[in-house]
Amino acid sequence: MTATATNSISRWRVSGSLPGFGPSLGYTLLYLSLIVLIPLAMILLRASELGLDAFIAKVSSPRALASLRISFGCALIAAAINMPIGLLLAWVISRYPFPGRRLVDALIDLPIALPTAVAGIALTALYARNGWLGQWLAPLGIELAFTPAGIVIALVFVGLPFVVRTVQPVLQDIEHEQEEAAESLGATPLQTFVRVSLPTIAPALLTGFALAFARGVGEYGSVIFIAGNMPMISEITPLLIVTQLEQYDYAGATALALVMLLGSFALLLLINSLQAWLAHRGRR
Amino acid sequence: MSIEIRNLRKRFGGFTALHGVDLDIHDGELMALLGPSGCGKTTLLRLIAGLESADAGSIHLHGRDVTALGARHRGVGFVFQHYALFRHMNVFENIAFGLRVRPRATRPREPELRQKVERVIDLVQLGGMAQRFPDQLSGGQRQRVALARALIIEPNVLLLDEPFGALDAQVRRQLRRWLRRLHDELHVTSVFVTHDQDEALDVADRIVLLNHGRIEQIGNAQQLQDRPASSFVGRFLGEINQLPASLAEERISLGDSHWPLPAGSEVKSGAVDLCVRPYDLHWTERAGPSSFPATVTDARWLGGRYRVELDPALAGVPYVTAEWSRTQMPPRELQAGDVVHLQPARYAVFARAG
Repeated sequence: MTATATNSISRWRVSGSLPGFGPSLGYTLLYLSLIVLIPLAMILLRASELGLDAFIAKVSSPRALASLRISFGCALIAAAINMPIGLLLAWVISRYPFPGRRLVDALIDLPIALPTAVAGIALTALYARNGWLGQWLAPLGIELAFTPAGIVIALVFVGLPFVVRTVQPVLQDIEHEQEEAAESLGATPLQTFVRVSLPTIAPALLTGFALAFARGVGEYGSVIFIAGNMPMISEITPLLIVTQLEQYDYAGATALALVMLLGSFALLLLINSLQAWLAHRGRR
Repeated sequence: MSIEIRNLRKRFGGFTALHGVDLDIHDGELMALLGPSGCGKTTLLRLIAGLESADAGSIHLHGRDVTALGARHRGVGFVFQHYALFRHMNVFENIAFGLRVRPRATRPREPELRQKVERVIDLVQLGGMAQRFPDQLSGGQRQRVALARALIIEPNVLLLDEPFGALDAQVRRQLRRWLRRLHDELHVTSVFVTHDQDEALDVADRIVLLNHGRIEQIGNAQQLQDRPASSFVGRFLGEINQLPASLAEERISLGDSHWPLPAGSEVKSGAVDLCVRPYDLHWTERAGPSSFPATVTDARWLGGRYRVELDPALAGVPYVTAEWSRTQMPPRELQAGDVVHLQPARYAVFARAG
């Protein structure tokens, strides 16, 4: 048994200059178990008390399905919106020296530090029918607060720093000479960006997307203020879970939680594989 | 004329990189821009390429005024010191880049493009490497990919920034011989930047020596070495002895010794530096009016030549260096403490600096 274990570890071991593969893998697994896996296992355990039929019934109720669609859909849309916006921001901050750049740089992290409820209240005040922006949009027939669009706005707000902060260091490291080389070979600025800069940034951009998405799926505080929380229309899964907990339906809550967990994990795994593939293609 | 540069000026903030440079580079010439770091040689190269814009002056490439054009429109091949290869593309795609980004009307079709790229790959001797990525290549191979990538656009002029700077000595020597042969084959007007005088002497047809943003001298290797226009040129191109002398009535005096003023000297009188290359400082047995005594402090056989350090007993000159071939050597082995007489066979004088 021990021999087999040692054997299989040494088969995986990457012969390199860093010692201590065994102990470091051990610690990694220990902490990962304590902090991530065991709590998640509890969800699985709780959900399994339901039995398969009851589980399927719980998670496939129209209200649950609608909430899952809204949660994942809005998070994906928000992360997709954050990609170009975050890239642009990171580009401006890392490429152009302008007065107040440090200030803008610091402002970008604010959505992470801000209590999410504060963000939610601020956004609601801004976009509600009588808010600063909402009062101009309402006559045009555009309603953002208390709709899924409001959820997307909130998620764009909280997810933005993740894209900026993952792309920025890559942009700063990018060899300016590669862009100059492209220019001297006759490439237009757009061709240079698409063919030279973007492939270098793409893996980081995708990581930023994954982080923004993960944050968006899990976001609660800012969304519940702006969403209006109407079942079937603008109710996110985390809120539905809380509602069910308040009604002492622990099994139902954990069933939904398990679906969220598996869905998020599957999507993140997919994005990370894509990112790894891009990175591998980038620097072989 | 391939490249005509008139009164070119460039400032970076408070630092003046180029003070009004004039330069003509002939068709098919291989020109070296040589100088110490910070002399403006790379700035000059980047200005020719259009990667920097000039503050004043003009640049003509093959008679066309390109001063206001960006790098994209100049049709100039540029090879960067650190290659700047596209790391996410393999060798083939790196080289094909310049063709792929052309407007549709002038872009070659795929079979023709393949043919062109493969021809250039053969030219730079990278056959079989087309599918490799830059990270899988050695420094010398990367340099050749960078060169191939610049050559495929059939550039008006080829510009190379410290092309061998990042390579080890062995590869550098091989590659610069190879570049010279390639240039003789293609005859594309080329300019390369270097801080290494050996490299400039070894490869270039002519050398532009820059210092503090000004051209000190333009000429071939022999002109620069044997007829330096300033003491800076003399010092930069190889070792030189500088002896503090005085000049009056066309006569250079150093202690009790005298020499006539060489033809074409710019100084007429006053304190001067008498500059003599170690190999031009000959040995004589007897004292004479055109030699000065010096005491041997060190003598070494350096394979093919004898290198001697001597103390000339002159104020401000701790030692002079002389180099003699086997046939020029004194008949007996020199020892430290021996006194010999030194006679400059060829020399130049410049007004004493500072």
